[in-house]
Amino acid sequence: MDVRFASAVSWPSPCAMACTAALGLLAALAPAHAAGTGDSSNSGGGFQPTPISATPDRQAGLAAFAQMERVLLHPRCLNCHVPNAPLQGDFSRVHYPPVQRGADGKGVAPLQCATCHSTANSPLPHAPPGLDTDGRPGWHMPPEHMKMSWIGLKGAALCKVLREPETNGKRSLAMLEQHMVTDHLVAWGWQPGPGRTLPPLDKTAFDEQVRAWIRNGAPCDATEPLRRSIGTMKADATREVVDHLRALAANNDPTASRSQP
Amino acid sequence: MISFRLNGQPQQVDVPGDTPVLWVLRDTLGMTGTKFGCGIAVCGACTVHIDGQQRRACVTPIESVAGQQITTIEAVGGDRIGQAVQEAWVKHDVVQCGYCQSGQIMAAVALLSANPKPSDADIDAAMSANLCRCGTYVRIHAAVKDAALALA
Repeated sequence: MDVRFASAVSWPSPCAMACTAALGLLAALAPAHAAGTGDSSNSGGGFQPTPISATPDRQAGLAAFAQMERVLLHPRCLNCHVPNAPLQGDFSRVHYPPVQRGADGKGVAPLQCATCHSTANSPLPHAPPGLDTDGRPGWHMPPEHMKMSWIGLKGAALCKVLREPETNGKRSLAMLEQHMVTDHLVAWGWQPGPGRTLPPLDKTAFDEQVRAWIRNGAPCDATEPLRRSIGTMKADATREVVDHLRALAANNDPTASRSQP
Repeated sequence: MISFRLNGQPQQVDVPGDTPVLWVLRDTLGMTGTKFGCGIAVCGACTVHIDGQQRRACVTPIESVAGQQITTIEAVGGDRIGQAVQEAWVKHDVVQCGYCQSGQIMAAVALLSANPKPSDADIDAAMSANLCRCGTYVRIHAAVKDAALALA
């Protein structure tokens, strides 16, 4: 954080105080942002989003999504992309025990995902799978405010739910690519432990189809305009908010205005 | 060496990090109140509390609870909710063979800690994750309701 904000200068304006408080809160919450969106991505270090081609090919993009769709509708993905309680197993049966999603997608006490889903897959069939997130149980489904349910959807309808920020956890195309390519819960789908089938594409092929779809304008049907921008990365989006709040605070800080004529 | 707090006391164990908590409790520390049932987190007999939340000890690697508080059946009666649950269990003579009961009690305490006034449906949903081959479910249900009343 900027030293100026860390030092306890006087803040005559309630707005400046509010902005500073918001900055502190934002800084504190930044690492938890991923959890809030149901995203368990790693930091994404080294991840470079795929730019949209200068000459996007709609048919190539649609073909890539058709391959992605085969994975998205596989039980490894679909069982948690549901309207309410999760499903389980290769036949997408009702989950035992009867857990609920919860506001954060991690269940409702006393039956939370972590009650049975630990930090690692069991080597034994029929045991709940596990996931390690910073040394703690990381199993979850999308949060209540952004369920990202795909049940009953296919083709263009599924594509649009996946692509549009209003229904995909407020992700830009860049963030969506990062989620699908680097998220360790997504990657779990290809390491599900014994007794669970794998998605129809291997992870490398899936990642390449995601990139091909985005590179070709992320089309969902034959008529709508192709996307021309992949939008911002999560870190970029957070930085924009911080910069905006800093600007607001500076505009209401007479000390800052004196020192920065 | 992995450090944690067990029933309020500091504890260290020298075991591989992927050793399940249940094995550490029963084999390393000799605390056999927590039971081995299915070994795949389906029956609930091995339920313990980690930082107040119920967990299946049979699938929980000990390294994942480093620095955290483990509470087992041996100490759950030390707080108000645990004591009320145990008293209700005795009053309703819940136990038949008893093998699942330490897990049942840990689950009941977790339920009442999260939801002090559970409805019948809440009790059924929460306790359905703990199996009882003797079929003591009706008495379990009654005891949980009674404990909730006693705590009100």
